[in-house]
Amino acid sequence: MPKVISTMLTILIFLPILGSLLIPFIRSYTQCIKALAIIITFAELLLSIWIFSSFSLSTPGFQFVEKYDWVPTLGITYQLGVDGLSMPLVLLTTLLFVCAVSISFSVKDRIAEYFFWFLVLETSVLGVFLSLDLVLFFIFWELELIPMYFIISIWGSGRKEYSAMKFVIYTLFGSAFMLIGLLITGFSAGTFNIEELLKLPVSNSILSIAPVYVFLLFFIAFAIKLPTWPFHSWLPDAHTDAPTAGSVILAGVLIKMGGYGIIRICVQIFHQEAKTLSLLIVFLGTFSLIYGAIITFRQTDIKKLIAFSSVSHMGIVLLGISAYKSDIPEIASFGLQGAALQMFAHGTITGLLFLSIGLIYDRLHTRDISKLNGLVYRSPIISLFFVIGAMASLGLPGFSGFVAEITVFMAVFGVWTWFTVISVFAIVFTAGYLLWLIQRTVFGDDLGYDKDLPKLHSYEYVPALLLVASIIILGVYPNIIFEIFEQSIIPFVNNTTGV
Amino acid sequence: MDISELKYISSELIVTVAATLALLSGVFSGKYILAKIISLVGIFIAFVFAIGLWFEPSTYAFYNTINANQFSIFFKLLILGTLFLVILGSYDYIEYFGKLKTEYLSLMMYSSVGMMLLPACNDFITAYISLELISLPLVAIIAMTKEEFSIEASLKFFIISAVSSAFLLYGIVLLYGFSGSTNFDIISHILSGTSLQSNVSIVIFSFFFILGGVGFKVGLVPFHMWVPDVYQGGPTPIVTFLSIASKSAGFALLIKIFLLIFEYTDWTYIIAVIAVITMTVGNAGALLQDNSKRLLGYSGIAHAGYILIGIACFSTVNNIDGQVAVIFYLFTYSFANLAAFYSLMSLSQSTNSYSIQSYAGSFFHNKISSIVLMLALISLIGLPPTSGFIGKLYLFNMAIKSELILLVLFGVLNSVLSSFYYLKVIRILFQSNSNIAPNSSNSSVLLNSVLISTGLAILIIGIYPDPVLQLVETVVSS
Repeated sequence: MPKVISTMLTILIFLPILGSLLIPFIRSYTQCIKALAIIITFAELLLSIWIFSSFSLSTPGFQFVEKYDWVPTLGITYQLGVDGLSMPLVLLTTLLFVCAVSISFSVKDRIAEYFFWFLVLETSVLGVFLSLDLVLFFIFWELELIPMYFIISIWGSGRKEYSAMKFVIYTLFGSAFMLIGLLITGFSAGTFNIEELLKLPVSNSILSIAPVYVFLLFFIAFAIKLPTWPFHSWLPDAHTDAPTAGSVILAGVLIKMGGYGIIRICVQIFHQEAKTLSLLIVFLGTFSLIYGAIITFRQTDIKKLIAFSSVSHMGIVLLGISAYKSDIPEIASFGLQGAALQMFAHGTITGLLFLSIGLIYDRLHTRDISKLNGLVYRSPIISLFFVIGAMASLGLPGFSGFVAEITVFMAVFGVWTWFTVISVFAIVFTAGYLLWLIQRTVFGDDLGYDKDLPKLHSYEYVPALLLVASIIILGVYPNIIFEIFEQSIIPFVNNTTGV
Repeated sequence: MDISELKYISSELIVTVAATLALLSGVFSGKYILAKIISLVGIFIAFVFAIGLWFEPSTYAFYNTINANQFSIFFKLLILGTLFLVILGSYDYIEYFGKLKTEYLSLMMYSSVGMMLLPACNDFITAYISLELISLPLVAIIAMTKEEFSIEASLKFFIISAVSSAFLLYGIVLLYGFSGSTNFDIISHILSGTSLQSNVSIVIFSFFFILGGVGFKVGLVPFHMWVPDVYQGGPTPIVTFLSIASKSAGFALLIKIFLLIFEYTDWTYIIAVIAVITMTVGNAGALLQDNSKRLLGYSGIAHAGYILIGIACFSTVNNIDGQVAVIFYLFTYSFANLAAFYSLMSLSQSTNSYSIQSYAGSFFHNKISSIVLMLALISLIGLPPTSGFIGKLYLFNMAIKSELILLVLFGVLNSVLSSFYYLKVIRILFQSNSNIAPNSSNSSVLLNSVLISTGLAILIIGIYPDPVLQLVETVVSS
């Protein structure tokens, strides 16, 4: 392992918030603020790549672990660490934050505060993926609410205050249950430390109440965040009314916190219950998949349409997780890896879609599908990005979305055959609404009601190109990311399945 | 009695002397600033003396009516610290008192003497006198601005504290009839010696009366009606002081009373029900308020409900954890509430209104107050990284340990409910469009320094709570 500073992860987490503290001092120099924000997010990307390059795929368990006592009175530790499950999500986060900050250069209103909140948000999201203590995890989980609340309610559009409040209340409602769950777990197991909890037989008997209930307490919180039917209704509102960069981050990384939580806490700590309640997971997954897909047909706002498609795609994550029920370790680990890849792929694909919708909206000031006609004649480059995003989203081979979906379906077919059969049909709907969307907006008649749209700035197409590159690379050669997931998932599955 | 026992009430004596000197200086020189310096110096000296007593062993004084231990000294320090910050920061507000500025100082200090005595008392007579000493000066200062609202608030406060005192007295009398003493230790001894069946109704009756009496002071449902009115009508510094110091003292007494009787029978479910009702009523009431002080009044009721969760943990395995939870929560609540009230006071100077809508866009005019108010409200919701989060975490953790999972569920869901109205205020503060005149006055350096220090305290305790938690643990085990 190449030499890495031992406090690497702490630096990775807290660099953005430290940078944000500089913003009040330069608040009247907008160019400086933008430069600061992009430098910090880019430094984060480089840092995470550096960490990744020193990450050892052959050593199981958490790496770069830092552990300090934090509140010994309550038994809370400050422990960070990264493994094969969280590493790709960290890379996704730093990549999408570079994109989000970059496309935000066109923001004109209250710039200092805007970038301040984005940097705070980056700290909290990375904290969620990297903390190895339930309380620390919870703190970062809640910390993310305040910046996102401000980002939606100040820089959003439409019913932004309502949507921001709805987002916060839904998440808080979920975390209320998570707090109880983690207190029960911590109290009965005697530790809040995730690394220790993974080694304990939490599933069996050490909890004072039946572990199934504790599993459900956690699951509600993550299911709201993911979001899955019937807890999804905050997502379309929040997405539609958030500013472009807010939607990119929301779809790209914030909802991945839910999926990450399910795999890390619900599945890895409560693995027995994850098997018992597999039917619930597969049912919610299938239902969200179909429900989200069908409801998109009624949407007139592009952003809302993509938001519902996110609900549908997150159903696939749940499907993949439900394959963990299988007694065959290969299938179980295949499902979990598919779910994890689906999260990563959806992050980049939906990020790209929201980014291009943002570019369209900046130029045409409408997101109404019926008013967007013949986009390809007016702005071929944006159209290209949008079409790539849509094709990747519907699962065209060659893009990362396809690999993730096929992996999930292959794994889950052996476990929940009929659910898979139903779900695969939903893919037809997915293809249907996306193709129909493209046909109505990008193609269609050239109404010719204005000339060429303003050209793209470099800060607009560079992030889009980054996302396109990652979508295609993973689509063509997915093994690079599977190898990382395997480092975490295979040892876990081998320990808990079959045998 | 030995004359040297006076040292156990030295802080109270110093504050009394300082209050009297401040009053006299007002009469003879008429300069407010002199009275203010005298009071602040007096409070500071009292603070130092209280710290000096911290290291002495726990003792009883004045024929067992006063128990000088770290528990009482901790509350003394908390109350003195609050009083110091309240007086220091209220400089801007003082104009509203007209000619009665020095009287405001001395009456507040007299009231604080009662609050300082209350956590130390070991006898119901002392407790009763302390409670009266708290209330009567407050009645006078609430009415001091002579506005219609404050006179109404003062009258309400007076009548209700009289009624609650009657309740309390009736409870004490019943307990006295049962045990033949007003001393806590003797009552505790007798109660633990009797069987549950005999005379159970008298004890439960007297308990309800005492709970009612103290419940008025801390604002438990159904004895909460006065809180929103008084908070809205009273002068802001007084309401701040009332909401923090009076509540802390009241809960200190409640802890002591419960330690007496918790072994007698299982109070958990009675307390749990009162806690759930109190927090729900408080939060539901706050949802629709437009007056910010009234909103904080209802929020204060809700927080009294949360604190009761800690007391509900008493009758189980150990009561140390419950006490730590209660005291630590009070501590975090004090900072958040002080910051919230004082930043509202600062914002209201430029808007001349306590209506929440009038704060629209305050962030652009008064950055310090807006940011501190945001921190305070986040702390009151109980979100990290503020002290309020650690307070709630500790509280709920202890309740889970006592297997009160349903109670915790209600507590957590109530926090979610409360985020509605707190976030609404935060959103309005940071709203883009504002109707505040750009040249509105800014708050003074003193007020700002109080705001910044409380804001920092909220953050620092939120990020590194361990020293305070350990301090509270030593306090409780003393």
